[in-house]
Amino acid sequence: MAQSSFTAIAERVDVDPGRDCVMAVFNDAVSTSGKLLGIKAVRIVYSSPFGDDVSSIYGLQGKFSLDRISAYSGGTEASSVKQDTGAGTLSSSIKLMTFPTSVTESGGRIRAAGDAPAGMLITGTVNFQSMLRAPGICDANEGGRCIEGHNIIHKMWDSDTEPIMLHEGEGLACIQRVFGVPRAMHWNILIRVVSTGYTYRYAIEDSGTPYTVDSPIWCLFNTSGSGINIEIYVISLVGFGEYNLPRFRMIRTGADPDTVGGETVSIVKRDTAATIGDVIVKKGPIVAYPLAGNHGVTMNYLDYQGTPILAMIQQKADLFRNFMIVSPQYTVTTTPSLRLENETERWPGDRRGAGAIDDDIIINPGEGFAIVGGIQNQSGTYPPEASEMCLVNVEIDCYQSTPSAVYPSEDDVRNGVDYGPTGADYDGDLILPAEADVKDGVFYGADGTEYEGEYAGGGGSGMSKGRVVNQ
Amino acid sequence: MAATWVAQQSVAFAATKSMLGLLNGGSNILRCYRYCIFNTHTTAVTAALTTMQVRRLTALSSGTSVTPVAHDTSSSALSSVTCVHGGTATGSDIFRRFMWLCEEATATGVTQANWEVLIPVGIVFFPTGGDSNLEPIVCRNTYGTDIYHPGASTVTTQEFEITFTNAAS
Repeated sequence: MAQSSFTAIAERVDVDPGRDCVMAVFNDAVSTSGKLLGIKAVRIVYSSPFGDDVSSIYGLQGKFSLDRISAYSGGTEASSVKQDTGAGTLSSSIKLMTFPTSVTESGGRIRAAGDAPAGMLITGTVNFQSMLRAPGICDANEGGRCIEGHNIIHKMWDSDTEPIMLHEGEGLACIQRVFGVPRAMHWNILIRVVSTGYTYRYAIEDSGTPYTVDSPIWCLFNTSGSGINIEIYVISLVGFGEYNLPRFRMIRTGADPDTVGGETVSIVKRDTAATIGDVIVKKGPIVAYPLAGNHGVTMNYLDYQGTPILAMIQQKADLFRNFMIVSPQYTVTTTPSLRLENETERWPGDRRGAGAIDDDIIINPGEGFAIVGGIQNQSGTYPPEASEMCLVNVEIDCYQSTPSAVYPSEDDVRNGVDYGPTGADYDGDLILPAEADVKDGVFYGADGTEYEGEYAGGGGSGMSKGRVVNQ
Repeated sequence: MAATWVAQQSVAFAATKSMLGLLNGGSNILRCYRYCIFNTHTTAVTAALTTMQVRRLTALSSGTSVTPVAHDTSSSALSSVTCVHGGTATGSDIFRRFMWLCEEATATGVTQANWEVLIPVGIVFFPTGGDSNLEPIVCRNTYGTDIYHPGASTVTTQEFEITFTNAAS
């Protein structure tokens, strides 16, 4: 019978240095409840469509545009930071929204540009974008002042020219026009309030690309009634991270879900009527260490030396599977909702015929199941860290087994017999008499036939004839 | 500060083509501060290395209209300004010649095409250099300017920009 099933979904997650777990599911049930979590499938997909190049997973660049807008809706608001602590707080009418649901373009395109990622190859030649889009690298000398390579917009230094101004009711949106490589994108925006002269910065980290083409990545909006005008001084697209294809490993973790950080995400139940509790899902980047105890050899950074690791050994080593997102096997167009998936086999005991392994991955109360980024490839040429550039969606299919059995009282179970949902929850304490102590011919025990009493009457239950005297 | 505008358009390369042009037909003065080309081509092509020019024009007509965008929407509308791509242009002076690569940019390449993605590299002509002693390209009545492709490349579509100010004097 199907168990209460759910999928834990984390969207647009990545890793940070030292925090390489992208997602973890924790069994928060108490040990006596008997609730177990079974892991059935793990899917990792890139968070947005690729460009059309099929020759390389890091093929062609994408394209974005900066367009004037007159309205927006939805999105997640980002906070600004004052450059001068003596400045007033930026008006709440100035909004920087990531992934707004929609924007209304007002017919003015300020700029369009390619979004070639500025990643680096640890072991290879870096491309120019990576050199020039790295923070702090200055390239062009514009008016005696440096404009950094990662600037998309920089106020011109000619005194006779204006910066881009947003009056009340006006905004600027960054819109993805063509997909390139889905990845973590880092935007920095510097604005100035005309009336006060104070400047404020926004930093959008790991924003990624939208799910559909011609959708906004972010928008900056000066809401009507703000009473202020703002100037856009600098917009930067800073790139960092390295190009190695993201690799992940699955581990059983003993981390405490209350202290790992990250964001809590809700589960998606298969049956809305199901009751599924005591499950905590965290979206990274977080820190999830392998479960303590003798689970085999820790293989987090083992050099595989080109030898494939057998599935059984991986499980024994608490390293269930090492898998990577493979190159596209087919053309991905910019049609919405097309994604690549590298789905694991149902694990384990599957069509590979692993034989003795025929159980799902079971997560006991107090344990968790984590997807951790970074693993050395089989030839040992790539470092174990996952790239900061990687941005993925993770889905984990699970079920929760809830015990329905009613166990007898320990008084009704023979002494020395352990039983219960885990086989060690209860200890019977019923003691049966020895056969020698039970009257001969009396059957007792299991089914009333297990034992037969052997005690013959007379020995201590009556008087001998010699002792009975007729009066 | 003078009212500042940007003419921006994606334009396909073709032989001997005025990629983006501006002509002043009124009494105001247009001053051009930036000429830009950004490589946003996203599909594979057979590369072509070609030459480009920034020119003064004495005539500009036909072509496809481009609507300049104001940096400040409260600026007065442009009057008698022709802005087109692929127009019929009459060039007079050449301010700059340079080479440009018509090729898609890849994420890991090290060719010039990848350089051309970057904004600072795409500022192909910066007349003043930020020096107040230098003038921008000044377009008075009947004069204009364009980014011109005298070469033969027919591959890639890239972004063209001319940023200019509009003032009465």
